[in-house]
Amino acid sequence: MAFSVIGLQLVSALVSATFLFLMASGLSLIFGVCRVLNLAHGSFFMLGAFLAYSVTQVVSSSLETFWLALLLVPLATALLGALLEIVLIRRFYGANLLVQLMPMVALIYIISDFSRFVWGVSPGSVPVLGLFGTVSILDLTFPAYYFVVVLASMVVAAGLWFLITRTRWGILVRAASQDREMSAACGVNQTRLFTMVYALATGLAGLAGVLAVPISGASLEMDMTTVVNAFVVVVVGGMGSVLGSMLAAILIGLVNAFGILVLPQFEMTFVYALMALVLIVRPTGLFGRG
Amino acid sequence: MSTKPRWMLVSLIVLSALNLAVAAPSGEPIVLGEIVSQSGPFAMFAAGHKGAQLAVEQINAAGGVLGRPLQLLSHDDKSNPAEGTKLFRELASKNVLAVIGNSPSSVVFAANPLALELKTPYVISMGYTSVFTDKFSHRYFFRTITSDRVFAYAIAEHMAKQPATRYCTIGNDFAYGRSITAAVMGRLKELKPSVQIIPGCEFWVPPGQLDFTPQITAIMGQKPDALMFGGVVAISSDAFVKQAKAFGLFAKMVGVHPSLGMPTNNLGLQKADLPEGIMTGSDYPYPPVDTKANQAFFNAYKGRWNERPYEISAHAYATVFLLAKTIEKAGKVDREALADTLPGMHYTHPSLGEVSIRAMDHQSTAGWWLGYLTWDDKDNVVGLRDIKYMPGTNYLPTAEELRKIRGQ
Repeated sequence: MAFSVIGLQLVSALVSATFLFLMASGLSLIFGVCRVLNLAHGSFFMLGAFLAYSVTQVVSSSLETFWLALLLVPLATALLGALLEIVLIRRFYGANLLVQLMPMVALIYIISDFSRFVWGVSPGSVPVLGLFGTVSILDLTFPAYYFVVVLASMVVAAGLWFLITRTRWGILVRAASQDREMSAACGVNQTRLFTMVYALATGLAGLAGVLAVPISGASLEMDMTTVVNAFVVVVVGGMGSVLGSMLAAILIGLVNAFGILVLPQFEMTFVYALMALVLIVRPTGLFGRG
Repeated sequence: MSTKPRWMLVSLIVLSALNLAVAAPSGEPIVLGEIVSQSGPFAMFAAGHKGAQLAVEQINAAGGVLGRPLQLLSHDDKSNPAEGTKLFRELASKNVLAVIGNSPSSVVFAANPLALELKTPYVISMGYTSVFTDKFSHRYFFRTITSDRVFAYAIAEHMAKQPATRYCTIGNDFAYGRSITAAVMGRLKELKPSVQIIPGCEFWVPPGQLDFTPQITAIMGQKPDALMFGGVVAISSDAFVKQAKAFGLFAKMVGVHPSLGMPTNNLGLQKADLPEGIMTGSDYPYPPVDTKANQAFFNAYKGRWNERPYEISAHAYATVFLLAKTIEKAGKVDREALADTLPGMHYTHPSLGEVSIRAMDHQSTAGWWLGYLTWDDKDNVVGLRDIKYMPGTNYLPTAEELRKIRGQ
């Protein structure tokens, strides 16, 4: 196998991993702290994509508008996330897992119907991919935008790491995820903390949606595909671990990019085989707690 | 209160009086049922209903059918096969003469056997799957558009004349993705034995996949002459085309996709998303085919609905006119008479010209336009350039082939 082919698949793996990470980190954070499985995570991703589409439709399909959307849309999805947490999600904390799934499934349908009502059935496009130009790697021209995405997710990863390990807020988050009762007993305002975590995670999903829209467009069916992939990453990385999500995302990106070189006709199996393997060896995921 | 209602009443009376003066359809209306996807993933097929409705209005304005007005009884199948079968039973139990289908193949699969069971003609203007008119063909089933065999064989024939021999393929991993890839590549190899799929360059991705980076870099690493990606459909095809453009994929190899030129298959693409170098096709290409019939249809449709027609709009429009003509010829409003008269009928399709319903399988001879994917600046939609028409009769199964397919 040519060296250049391996190099290119490495870059591709990294690009695929960034989207998986942006989605999985939020999903994992919510599970770790709030102890609910945020199945509606993909819906916030879809909303982010559609909102970015609307911003560029209303203003223009220019780079400046896209940057504006990148700034504003995650704030909007975070706000919506906070609102939904206060109105709906928080009433199901501590409930049976199956009961928790009900409001999530309801949210998926509500957001999907809302999007159909607002944006119609035709997919939307934000054609800014070409405006970023290209970068030559080996004998291939790679779209420069992909490196913007990789860079953005590195910034997010570093920011999350700093937030969780180096700030007082992060200490509270870790405390709550390790022992909720004890942290409550110590006087941590859990109600507000949970709202903030949910808002942060849904903001990340919105950010992923904006970053994805130049590459894949915005469409009504993108919510489910995305949340299923993110869920696999969280399971492999370990529920509740942001570091686990990052490593799992990279691992899955690599397995996929090189798997298709060896057995291209079996793409769907690689990722799930990896998940099964991890679950057999470490049932709690790579970085999960028992 | 405003005087609006009264004005409307007055103009209505004046209009109907005028109508009377021309040629007034009177008596009990002839009812055509319609099952159409107006919500769910195929909600854009609602444009089929608009085409059918336009035809009904035009026919009634010209005096109706057998002097009686035509009426459309439409129901939404929600893109759902179970709902489609329920609606078919419901419609068949009413006094509808026939049921028009503007639904995806999945709904047709489910409703097709009912047409035979309930002895109700089912005339579809959407759903290209070949088996409906070859293997599963029966007395009460008719298709007024082409079949996927026609566009697969037509594009294979075109590519066989091109220099490309080393192919890669990529498709969504589901029934249609597999079958269209097999049909195009199989036919291509038959016509040009030097064509081969590069070993290890046959990719299957889950339906709905949005990130194609690893596949695109892997395909570029193999340096094929052409990439057949006809099995990549729906939200995956928008995403794939955008990413292919960003990588300059089709500057290095020819893209082959039999149906990307269909308006309902490229709604999510804008001008800046479109790469050059994709050989594809459509049965309603943009810019609109420059014939008198199509100009009349295009302008009437735009005037009536204030939007551009999709392919399904033209198909449903032609279908209603075909049914009206058939009822006139049969001379009576009767399901059995309709099923007897439809085979062999000729009709005009706006973008495909004169076509007919074959007696042996009730399949239309409607063909397919091939061309390179491009942006149509005038209409501001995805279009085709350098188009050429491939008549359905060149690619549909012969009587002998049909016997083989049906295992007779």
